[in-house]
Amino acid sequence: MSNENDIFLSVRGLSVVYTSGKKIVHAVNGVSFEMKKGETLGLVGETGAGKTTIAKAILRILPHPPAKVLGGEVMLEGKDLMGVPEKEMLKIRGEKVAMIFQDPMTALNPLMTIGDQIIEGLKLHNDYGEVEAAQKAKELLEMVGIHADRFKEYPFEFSGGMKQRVVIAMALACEPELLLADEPTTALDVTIQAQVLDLINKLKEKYGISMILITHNLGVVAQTCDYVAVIYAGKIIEYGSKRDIFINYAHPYTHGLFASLPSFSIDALRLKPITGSMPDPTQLPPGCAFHPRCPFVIEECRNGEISLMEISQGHFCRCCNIQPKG
Amino acid sequence: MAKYILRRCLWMVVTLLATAFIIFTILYFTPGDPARVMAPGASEADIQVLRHQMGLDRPYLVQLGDFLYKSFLKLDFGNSYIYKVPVFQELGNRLPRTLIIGLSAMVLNLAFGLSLGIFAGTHEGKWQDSATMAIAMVFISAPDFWVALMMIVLFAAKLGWLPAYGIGGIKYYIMPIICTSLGGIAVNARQTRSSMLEVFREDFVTTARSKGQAENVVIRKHMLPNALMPIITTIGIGFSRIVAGSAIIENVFSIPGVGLYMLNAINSRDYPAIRGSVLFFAAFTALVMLLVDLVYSFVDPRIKSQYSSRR
Amino acid sequence: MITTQSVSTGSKPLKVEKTSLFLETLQRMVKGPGAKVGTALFVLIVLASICAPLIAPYGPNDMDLENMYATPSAAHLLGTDGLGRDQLSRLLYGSRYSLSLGLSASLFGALAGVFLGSVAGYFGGKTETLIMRLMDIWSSLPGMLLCILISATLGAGFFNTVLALSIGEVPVGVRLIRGQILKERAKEYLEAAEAINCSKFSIMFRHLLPNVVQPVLVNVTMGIGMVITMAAALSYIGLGVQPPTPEWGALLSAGRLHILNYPHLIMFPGLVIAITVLSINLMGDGLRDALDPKLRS
Repeated sequence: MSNENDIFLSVRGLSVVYTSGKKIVHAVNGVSFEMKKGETLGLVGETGAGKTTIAKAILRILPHPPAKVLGGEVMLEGKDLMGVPEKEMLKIRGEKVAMIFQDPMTALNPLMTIGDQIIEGLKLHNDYGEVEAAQKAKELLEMVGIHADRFKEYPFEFSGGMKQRVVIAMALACEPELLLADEPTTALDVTIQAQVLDLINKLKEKYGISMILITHNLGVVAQTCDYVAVIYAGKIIEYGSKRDIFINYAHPYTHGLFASLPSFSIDALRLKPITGSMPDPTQLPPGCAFHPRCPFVIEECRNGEISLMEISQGHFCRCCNIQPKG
Repeated sequence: MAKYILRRCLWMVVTLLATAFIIFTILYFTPGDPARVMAPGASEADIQVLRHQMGLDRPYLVQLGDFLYKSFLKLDFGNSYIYKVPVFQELGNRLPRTLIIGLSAMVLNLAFGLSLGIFAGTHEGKWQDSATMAIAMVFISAPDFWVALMMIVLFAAKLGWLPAYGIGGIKYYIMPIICTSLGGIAVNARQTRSSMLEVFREDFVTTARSKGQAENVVIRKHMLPNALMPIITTIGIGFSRIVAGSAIIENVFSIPGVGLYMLNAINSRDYPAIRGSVLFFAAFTALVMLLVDLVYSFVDPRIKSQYSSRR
Repeated sequence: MITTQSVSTGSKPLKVEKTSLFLETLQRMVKGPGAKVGTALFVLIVLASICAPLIAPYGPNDMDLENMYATPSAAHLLGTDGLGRDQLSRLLYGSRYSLSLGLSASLFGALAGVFLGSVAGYFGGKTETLIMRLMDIWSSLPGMLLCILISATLGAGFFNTVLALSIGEVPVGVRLIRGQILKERAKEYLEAAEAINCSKFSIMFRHLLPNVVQPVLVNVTMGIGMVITMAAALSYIGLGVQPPTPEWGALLSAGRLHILNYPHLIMFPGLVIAITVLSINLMGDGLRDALDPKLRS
């Protein structure tokens, strides 16, 4: 997709399944994308599309019994994270790649002070003494807008928005190069959402962090992302720059996503959702996973592997019957 | 914090008073005249004299008040009808034996119960998990006094390794302690396991892993403390169960502890002894529950803050 | 506008859902291997108990004076006791006492607990405080001790023992139900019911109860096993049900004297108790997993 030398993260053919009893859930089905240093990639899709699984697969923190990585490679600065021994992965987690989780209410250990939880990360990747680590942790708290005096407090003493700030502080403690943000603002009030997004953007600029932002909120994507990948049933069905996706979207699913957004400028009686629902991940339909719901479905859509096609410079779409906007 | 402890202690006293009132009233209205039990076949006049001596002919409220006053303020439970010795003294003599069995069983409960539970939890779904839980299930289901009897048959009668009853040295305590602890170990193992599994799924465990923390440290620092919280109550209940069940176990092994004392008192209508031992058990249970609450309030920062000076 | 027509068609689907929920729960309950075994065993035991007169080789009090203290043999599969009574028959007839003690005591305790707990949870305020304080006092004596005391006070006999056993079960049920109700009280469907002028009792029993009953169901099922064991323990120490009634605990008590010479007299009754309680516990586990919303797909 771009010049080999600039590529910071390259994911090729990542596939993950979950086994539940006898059923196999095809969560991620051959996902590939690339990122340059300092970019923000938005992973957009409905709940259950497989976005979180992709992020957890990169960090290799998927729960082992139910989840299984079937294949694929994740090249971070030339090294394939899928093949790295666990001992080395421990150093990578937190230090090179960090993650912010969706629900701040449960992401923190209720029995440890937030200071201790930040220090835990610091001491794992640096040779800090007790005092030094505490000092650094307090600096981090101030950086995310929390008073350093609250260092010794417990998670239950913080509101949702503040907890999320603590989680951000924890993730950025060791200045990672790649940040995986899994719906960081979904569980928060709209007003707090704006604050947290601002914070993330600011820190991203400051440290030059590359970020994968997972969300189902197109507004958030518009605010923060450089590139966007639209995910459906574990596959990337459209990929491009923010402009490509927001202005020149092509895939029927993407059409549906944007059409379902209520508009302030039009008087409408009803919302326009996409008819039907996401397919059962244990029984994906043949051909294009979206074809049962697609208003533009043609015969070729129902069978065979639909591949990603480049419809303009850097803009890709996985569709047999592309409907360019306008 | 101190206010909270004080309030709990006061409530404990109220509960004990209520229990004393209830047990006294139940015994008072139970058919059967202690005087007649003590002197069967005596003449009616002699019985009346005896009743007067024992204070049994005073009105209900006077007897109740006297009992409450003596028990709570002077720790005087009266003399046993049968042995004519102060009940309090008898309780004191027998307490160590009940406590030795109870405390040792408790230690075994914790040591084996928790470790087996953690073991099963960390091997969820594999044979270690199923095997441990199956064995635990068996020991929960088997009545402890039957297991005791079977152990007597095996170890005392057939093999002759351990004595079948009585007290005398450590050997006499081995079987009672093991029998008492088996059920508790099984319950603790199951509780710990399900607590562990719940914690496994918690988000903060994933957070810890994403920081690059090694798995065994994640288990030790993050999972265990959170998993052990609900277990504190189980432990408290387990302890008072053990002491309550002492009546049966002491009966099987003929250990002269507080439980057997109470059973004998019940059978022989020895009212002061019954009242004294019941109050003892009630006080003991209340104390254990208070300790459990206190431990919780120290260990769980959420509860601690509710009672600290911040409020 | 709601017409009577739509109200009646509205309530029909509810009914259908309820019965199939029950069946669905039963189906889920017996999915695991443990629950399958447990349920099968328990059904077997209950059937054996009901058909005792048909399948017992002898009457419970028939004395075979030529074969006293016999060890298991072809004529007496589980041996005989000191009066020549066949142990197998006594166990079969005894199962009726033990099982009915366990089931009725659990039921009484559960009903009383559910009632008190609902009143406490729903009405709140002073009523709740009073009831909960009462429960504190009630449970200040551990279960077994309470049963021993009450049984001693009431005397031996079947109904007295049921009463003694059920009294110990009440506080647990009350606490559970009240806790569940506290959780549910915050939910809006209760406010909605009040808003359309449902009577308080109607709300309590038709709306609240079905939603809070689940943990109690599990608890009661697991509790039956404990109650059976406690009943046996009571008989063993001389309270509760007494010989010649062949309740399992009474059989153990009778066999105690000859434990060193004739262990089979205590081995079989105890084994039967253990197996029964095991089957109930396995069923209870299955029920708990079936009702657990987290495990539902």
